Amino acid sequence: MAIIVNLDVMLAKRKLQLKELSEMVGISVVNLSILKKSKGKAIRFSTLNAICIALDCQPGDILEHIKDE
Amino acid sequence: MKKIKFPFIISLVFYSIYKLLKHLTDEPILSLLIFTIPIILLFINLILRRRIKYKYWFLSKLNFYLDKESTVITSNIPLDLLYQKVILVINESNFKLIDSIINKHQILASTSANFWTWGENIYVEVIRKNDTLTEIKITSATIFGSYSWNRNEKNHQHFCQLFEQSLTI
Repeated sequence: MAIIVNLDVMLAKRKLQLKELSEMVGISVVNLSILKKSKGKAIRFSTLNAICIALDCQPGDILEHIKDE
Repeated sequence: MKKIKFPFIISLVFYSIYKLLKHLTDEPILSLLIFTIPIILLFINLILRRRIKYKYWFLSKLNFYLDKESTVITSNIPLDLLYQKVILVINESNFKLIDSIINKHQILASTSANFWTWGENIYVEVIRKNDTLTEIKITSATIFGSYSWNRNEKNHQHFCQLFEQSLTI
């Protein structure tokens, strides 16, 4: 089981840079990069909420569940 | 006490010898020497502690008068990103970022001095192990004293805790 963060896909759809998103949500570029690479341990609801507001999307657009092979 | 280091015992032995010699000979130069050498060492360490390039002075095995301890955290975060993350963690903690070498991925942080301690130096090195694995090597070293009274271990625990917490974004 793996949770994939599709932040790069949503950023491309909204034609935004990570730095711009960082300024919009108030989270450092480093932390957003870790999130984008799906290397974080957990995501706060407040972070998810801020990203959803900034990108005008749903949590399901950012997070994806992939089953093990 | 969890463990007594060998240099700590040496210090106690030297102190006992000094007391014994003083009692037997009553030589004033002896007490002067015994106390000026450690004080000079302390001042040298306090001057050198601000630069990461003197890391090997503090971490050398020959420098038996200092207590140092290392721990390693493994991560799957890429090297450059992890280096920036460690700097972020240090900046958001009680540790003070002193110096860094970007191309060697080395960081020097310190704890503040108080009534009980001169503070400890925290040397952090981010190392790539393979394509997927990266290591953070944390070494906590005393500025003066062969026994850290568990402060090195506490620094490790504190750093590891902060790093784990920081992965919740």
